[in-house]
Amino acid sequence: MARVIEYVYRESVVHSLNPLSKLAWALGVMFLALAFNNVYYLLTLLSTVVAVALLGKVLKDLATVFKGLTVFAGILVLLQVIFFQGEEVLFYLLPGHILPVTGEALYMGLAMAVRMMAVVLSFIIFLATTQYKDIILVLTEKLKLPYDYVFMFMTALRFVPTFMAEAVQVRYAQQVRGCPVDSGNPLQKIKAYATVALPLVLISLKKAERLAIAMETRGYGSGIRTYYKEPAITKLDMMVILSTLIFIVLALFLRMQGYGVVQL
Amino acid sequence: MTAAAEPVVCFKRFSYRYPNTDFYALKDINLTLPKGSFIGFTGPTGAGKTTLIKSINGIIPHVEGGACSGQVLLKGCPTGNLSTAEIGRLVGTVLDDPEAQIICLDVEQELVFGLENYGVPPDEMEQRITTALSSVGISHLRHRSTRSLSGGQKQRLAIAAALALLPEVLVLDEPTSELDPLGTEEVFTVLKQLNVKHGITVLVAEQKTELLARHCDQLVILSQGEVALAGTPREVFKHKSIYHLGVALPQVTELALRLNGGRCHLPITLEEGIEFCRALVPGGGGKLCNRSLT
Repeated sequence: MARVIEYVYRESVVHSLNPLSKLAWALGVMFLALAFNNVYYLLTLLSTVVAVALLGKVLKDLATVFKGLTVFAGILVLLQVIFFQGEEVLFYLLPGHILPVTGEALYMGLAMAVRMMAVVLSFIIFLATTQYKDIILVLTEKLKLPYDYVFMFMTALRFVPTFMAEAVQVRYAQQVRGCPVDSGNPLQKIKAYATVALPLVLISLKKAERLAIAMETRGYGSGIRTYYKEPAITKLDMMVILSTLIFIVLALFLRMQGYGVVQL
Repeated sequence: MTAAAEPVVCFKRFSYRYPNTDFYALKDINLTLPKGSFIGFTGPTGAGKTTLIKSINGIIPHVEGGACSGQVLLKGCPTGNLSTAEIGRLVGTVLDDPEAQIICLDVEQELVFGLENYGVPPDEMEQRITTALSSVGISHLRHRSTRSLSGGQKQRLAIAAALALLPEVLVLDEPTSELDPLGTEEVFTVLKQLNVKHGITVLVAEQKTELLARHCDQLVILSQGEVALAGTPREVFKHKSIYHLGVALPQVTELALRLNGGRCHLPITLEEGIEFCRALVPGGGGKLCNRSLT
């Protein structure tokens, strides 16, 4: 859980790409995923995303993420099965003809699950192969987003692991004081978690204040910024961006022709 | 204090009250801190050390609210009239908690953060980063992740990050409170070097009087928001009222005071303590002491 969206340092083609082209790729994947609902199309898309992870040598690091996503995908399928009214009943979840599982629902659930996985994975690969400073740089300098907001967002992401570590600390501290954090029924558990959440919030506020002081004394927001190293846009980057565009146009064209869409 | 050097920080009847409190954290402070000096601030917790440090680097009154009267002058200019960013160019700050002041994920980026904020040209950055890192002795850590550093290394990184901005004054708020003895020694050695070699004014709030005695030119003892004593460490430690101020004297000083009530040349460092002991032992007592030194 701790290593969900951290930068993983490896020597790879994906790492050396400009953040801009990686962002374009991730957005392209999102577009393609939303354009089609044919499971085979989506599975192909997902496998290209996995291939990029492999190319970036971060596939192993994303194993935990993959596991979590699979659980989430299962829930998506289950929800479709329960709420989507289809005609072709395959079997029943409970004996006595309760909760019918229809082919359409299953198909739609699967499509949704694969689509979700492709989109989420592509963005996680983007974050895992790109340094925060480069993301900030590209978002502010190339895409002209306001620096304050970008910095705020990226700092929030950067503090997730610290926050997790602190949560563990607080939980231990409460446990040694005899506070039952990890026992009892779910309701009791939720109640007990308040004893962890409150100190955690207070600690974080304190930390935020200190960080603000540290930033303030180092001239945050003093005026015109410069950047130490700007990642260059290489020919490879141009190719990635160009091919993403081609794929999007192609997808639009196919979609107009009625390919890759299953009418339910 | 030293008459020759021009004052770089000057408190003029400065008082300050934190928001939502009734008592003054600093009361009528009058201090002149000359350029190029190494000054230690000490006193029990709650004496106002942190508040004093914060009023030098402009966190008070700019970030913290509260009420203040009087002035703090930085090179003759009141801190109230400067923005925190302008003050930051002149005064580098190092806080007590090495964790809380590291903003970025890797060492290089941490130094670059301040430089980028001030719009330093990229060509110049390289030079400044190398100098800052080497002056605190952590050039070899340049490409490391900040999370993998030890406490002492983190604190030295914090100093380097402040140095990269070429400040004239370095203020430190208990920089060694979370460090082990070795890390503490590392940090003070670096500070002394910066002071002597580069002429940077070092203002440090610290509990460990033994360290202050060894390194400081001037020592200021705060008590309940007021300046209780000020002068060279030896003058201050000699003062009778020091026992009531909640300050722990260096052990060698304590020893000499208890032995003969400070009638002799008061030792304040280990070396002077050894000299003091030698003088007590008939025949110089040389051998034992020499062995303990090496």
